Amino acid sequence: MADTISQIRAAFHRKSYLFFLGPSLIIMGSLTLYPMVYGIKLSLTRYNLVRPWIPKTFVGLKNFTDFFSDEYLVKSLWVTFKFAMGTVALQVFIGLLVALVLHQILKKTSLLRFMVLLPMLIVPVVTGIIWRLILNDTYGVLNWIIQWLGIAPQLWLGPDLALITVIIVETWAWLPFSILLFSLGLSSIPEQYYEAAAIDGAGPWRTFFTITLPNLRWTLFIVLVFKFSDALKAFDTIYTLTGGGPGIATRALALYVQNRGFTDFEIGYAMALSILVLTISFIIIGPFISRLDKQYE
Amino acid sequence: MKSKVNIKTVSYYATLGILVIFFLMPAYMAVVTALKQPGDITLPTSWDLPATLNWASFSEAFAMLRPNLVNSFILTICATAGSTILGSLNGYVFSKWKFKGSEIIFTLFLFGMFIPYQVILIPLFQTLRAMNLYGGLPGLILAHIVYGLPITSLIFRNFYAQIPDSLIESARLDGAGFFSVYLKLVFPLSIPGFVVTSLWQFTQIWNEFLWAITLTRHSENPITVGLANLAGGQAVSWNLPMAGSIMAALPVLCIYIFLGRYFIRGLLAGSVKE
Repeated sequence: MADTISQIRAAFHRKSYLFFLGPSLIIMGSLTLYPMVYGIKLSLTRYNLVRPWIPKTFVGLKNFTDFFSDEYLVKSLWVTFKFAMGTVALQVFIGLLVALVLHQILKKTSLLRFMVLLPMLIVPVVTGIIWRLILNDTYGVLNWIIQWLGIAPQLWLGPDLALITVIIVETWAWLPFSILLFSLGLSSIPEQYYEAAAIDGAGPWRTFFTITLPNLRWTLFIVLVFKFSDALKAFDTIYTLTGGGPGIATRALALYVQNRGFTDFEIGYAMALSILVLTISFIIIGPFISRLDKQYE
Repeated sequence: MKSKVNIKTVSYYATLGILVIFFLMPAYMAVVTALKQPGDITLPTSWDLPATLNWASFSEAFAMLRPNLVNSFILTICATAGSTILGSLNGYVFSKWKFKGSEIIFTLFLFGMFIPYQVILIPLFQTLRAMNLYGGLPGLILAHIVYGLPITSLIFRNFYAQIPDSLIESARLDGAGFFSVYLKLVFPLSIPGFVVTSLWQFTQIWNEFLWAITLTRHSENPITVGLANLAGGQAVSWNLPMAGSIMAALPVLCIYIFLGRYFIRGLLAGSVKE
């Protein structure tokens, strides 16, 4: 008897980690694993929340084959692609340029660093709202500035310019992230490399392409992965700036999924779209995770 | 030679100047517009300082957004506390109490970090509905705790990896078990880890919008949704959304101004390998 009790006690001590891990496993299981399995099941059904009289029916892969005939999906993929290319290009080029300039003239100026970081700390919804004021075609300060420069005022959020405007605002919000990463990358390049290059008589361009850029490979890779996966998720700024409009001119993938799910209540189809988004994002993130493992080996 | 250096310096500072204007202009516009009388907000003077300071914008916007601010504080504090405490417990097990399969569970945790919010949105909505938690703050709190766990567990795991195993071993030789090692040894050393993770979680949850707008009913809307609604109404003059924006942005800004250096220091400490 005493033996059994001590055995139980020993088992209790061996498994005591379950008391710490258990709660997390239970709530994670119930709110990630279960929803994922349930979601996959949903993606195989036709299920409209506002038409409850149409029963939830199993339709197999129909939702997925419907992708090919969904012209709105194609348009939102195209918007997402342009958005991703625009934000990535701007953030990499300007981010690197600014980091280089900062690296040249500043060692540690915290006020300036704080100002540069400011946009990253601001609630994305607030970013959208403030920019809507700046871009407003009748009171916006941006039109005031370009009129002062002698250019006709523009409809910044109109059909022609909305996507470009959204890209610029997103760049405003997230440029600090790439500046920060590039600054960290630059400060980790040993000074001796530059001294050696200077002794060899390399000019600034040559130094940049043979020393700076190759040493920033890993940083560049991280920035690219994060920015591309952010483009897939882009929602808050676009929603508050344009709501996906005018028309569907700026309806990126995240907004399209949300619209299909919560405006049209096409739950089954929206779930199938979510799985598409997840697949694309794992294609982007996958190489990153495998490289990350190698980096830390 | 000398003039070349000057041109270089000038172009550097010009770049910085443009940058600072580009970054600070929206903040300036928000403050200036918030302090104007609604009638004074016009195109030719949008750039000017307000003639008279209209502090009433803030009290008026506060009256409108008060319920949302309260919701946001409840949501953010509960979800931050929950995900941070659980993350610390997990990190302790993952780094100091490894068992068969713990690495696999940890890898599964990490995958959770990369699931975009909108992917889980619909099944999460359905699950919360089935659990009778849809529409209210408790459901949103639970969702944020769950999706915060991967990152908090990761930060704590890396943080605890710095505590030497020999320290744990000697405590165990002195008779301390799983719980007393955590309470007496690991937890007291975790304060910097708690600062980093709770700052991170606070910012993420406070700023979050997509789940907030989809998973809560009107009376339970957090500040991001309340503000988007306030700004979405066409009749409202611009001084109110701007005052509201400043109020919504302040908590996170204050936290970073006062605690930012602990955050950077803690992140650096956490990233140092064993």
